[in-house]
Amino acid sequence: MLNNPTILFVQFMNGLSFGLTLFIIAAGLTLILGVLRVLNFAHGAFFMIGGYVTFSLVNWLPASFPGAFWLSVIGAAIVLGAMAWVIERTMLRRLYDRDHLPQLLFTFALVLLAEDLVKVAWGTSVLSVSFPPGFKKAVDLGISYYPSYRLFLCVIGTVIAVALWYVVNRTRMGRLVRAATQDREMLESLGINVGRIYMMVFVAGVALAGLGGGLAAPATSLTVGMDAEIIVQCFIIVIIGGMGSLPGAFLGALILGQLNAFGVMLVPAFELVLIYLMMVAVLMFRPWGLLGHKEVQ
Amino acid sequence: MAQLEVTGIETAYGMSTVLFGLSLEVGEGQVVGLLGRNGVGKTTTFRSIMGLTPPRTGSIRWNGTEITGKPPHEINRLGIGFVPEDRRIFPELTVWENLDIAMRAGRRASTWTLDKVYELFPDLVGLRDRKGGYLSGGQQQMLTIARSLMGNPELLLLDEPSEGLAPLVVRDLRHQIARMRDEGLSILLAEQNLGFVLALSDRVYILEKGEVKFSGRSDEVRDNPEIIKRYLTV
Repeated sequence: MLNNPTILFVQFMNGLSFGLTLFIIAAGLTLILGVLRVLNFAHGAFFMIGGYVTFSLVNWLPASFPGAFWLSVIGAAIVLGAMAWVIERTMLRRLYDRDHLPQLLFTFALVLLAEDLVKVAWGTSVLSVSFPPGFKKAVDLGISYYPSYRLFLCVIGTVIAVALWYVVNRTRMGRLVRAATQDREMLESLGINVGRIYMMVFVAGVALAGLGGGLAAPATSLTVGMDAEIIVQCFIIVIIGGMGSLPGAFLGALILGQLNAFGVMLVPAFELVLIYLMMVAVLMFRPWGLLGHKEVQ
Repeated sequence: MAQLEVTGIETAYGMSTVLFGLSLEVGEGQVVGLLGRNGVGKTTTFRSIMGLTPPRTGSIRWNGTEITGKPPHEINRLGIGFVPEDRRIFPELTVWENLDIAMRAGRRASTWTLDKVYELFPDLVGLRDRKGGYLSGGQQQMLTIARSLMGNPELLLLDEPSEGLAPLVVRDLRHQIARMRDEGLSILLAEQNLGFVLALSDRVYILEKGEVKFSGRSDEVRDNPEIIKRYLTV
C-alpha cells in the first residue's frame, strides 16, 4: 500500500477533506470556549441539527429550484444561529458568572434535548442528502480521480479558515473579541457591551456548527448518534491546537484528519487509539496545546 | 452641583464589607486626591463608581443623574474613565489595538484623538505595533491612561498610577496628569505617594477602614504633620 502513490494520495486527500470539514465545526467550538469560557457540549448536537435542517430544506424546495442545496445549507446556518440567539439570551447568559459545572450540565441538557428533538422531528432511520448538481462526479487531479464534492469541502474549509483569521485579526470586531478573551471586566470598563460580544460569538459559533452540518450532510449519513462522534473529535482538535486558538484548531483538524485517514489504512484496529495517543502526547509535552498560550495571571 | 457625588455608599465583596457609608464629591475640572494606607477601600471606591462592584446602599450621582446599578459600559459611556491599579492592558493586543478598542467620539469640544494621545505620550508612537505584554511597567501605565483617554471621559479614575514606577517616569507622569487637568479633565486620583497627590490635587480625602476620616484642601494636609502621621505613615 505504502508504495502505491495513488492510494497514498487519495488517503491524504480524504484526510484533508475530513479535517477541513471538522475545522468548520471545531472553529465555532474553540471560539465559544476562548471568549465565553463555556465548554459547549452541545456543539455536536448543533452540527447534527444543521445536517437535518439541510435535509428538510433540500426536500422542501422544489428539485428544479436553482441552488437549492446551497440555499438549504445557508438556511441551516441561519436557523442554528437563531436557535443560539434564543438559547443565549434566555438561558446561557445567566450562567456566565457561575462555575463550570452548571455550564456543563446546561450544555449537556441541550444534547439530550437535541437528540430527542431529532427523533421526534425526523425519526430514527438513517437519512441522506444527495450531492448538489455539478458535484456528483470525480475530477482528474493528475495522480488520480477524486470526488469533486470532497474537493469542494477542502476549498470551503480553507476559505472559512482564512475569513475567520481575517475577521479576528484585521477587524475592529475581531479586536474586541480578542480583548474579551483576555480581560472581560476591563473591556466593560472601556465602554464595550461585552454581553453583546458574547452573544454574537455564541451565535456565530453555533451557526458555524450548523453550516458544517449542512456541508457535511452529502458526504455522510444523518443518524441520531452522529453528534457524539463529532463532539469528541472536535474536543480533541481544540485540545491539540490549544483552547481558544483558531490557528490551533486549524492545525489540530489537519492532524486529526490525516491520523484518521492513514490510521484506517495502516492500523485499522487502532485507528481511534492513534488519535487519543496524539492527544495524550500533546498534553504531556505542551499541555496548553500546540498553538495555545500558557495561562499567565 | 458637583459633577460626581458619592453619598453614603456601602460596598461589600460577598460577606466582607469594605466601604462603610463613604461620601465624596468631585467638581468639574478638579483634581481630587484619595489618600490612605493599603486596604482602606480606595480601589473599592473606584470599583463602586464604575459599577464593577456596585454598592449595596447609598447613591452615586453623575451630573445629577443616579448611576448606581448601571452596568460598567454604560457608566463609561456617560463619561467616566477608569485606569485600574494593575493596569490591565490587553497583553495579546498591540499598543495601537489597545487604543483603538477604547476609541469613542466625545461630546465635548476638547476631544482626545489618537494624534492628541500620541502627543501626550510620545513614547507610545514608536511602540505602536508592539504587543502590550512586551511593554515595561512605565510604558504599560502610559498605555492604560492613553487607552482611557481614547474614550473621551470627563472624569478619570486613576488608581495608584505611580506605583512601582522609576522616579523619572513618575516625574513624566506628573506632568502628563497636569496636562490632562489643564485640558479640563476632572481626575479622582488614589495614591500612596503623598507628594505626587499634593502636587496635583485641589482637594483630598483621607480614608481609613472604608470611611472618609479627613477631607480638605491639599495645603491643609501638607501643613499638618499630625494628619499625615495618623492616617498615612506606615
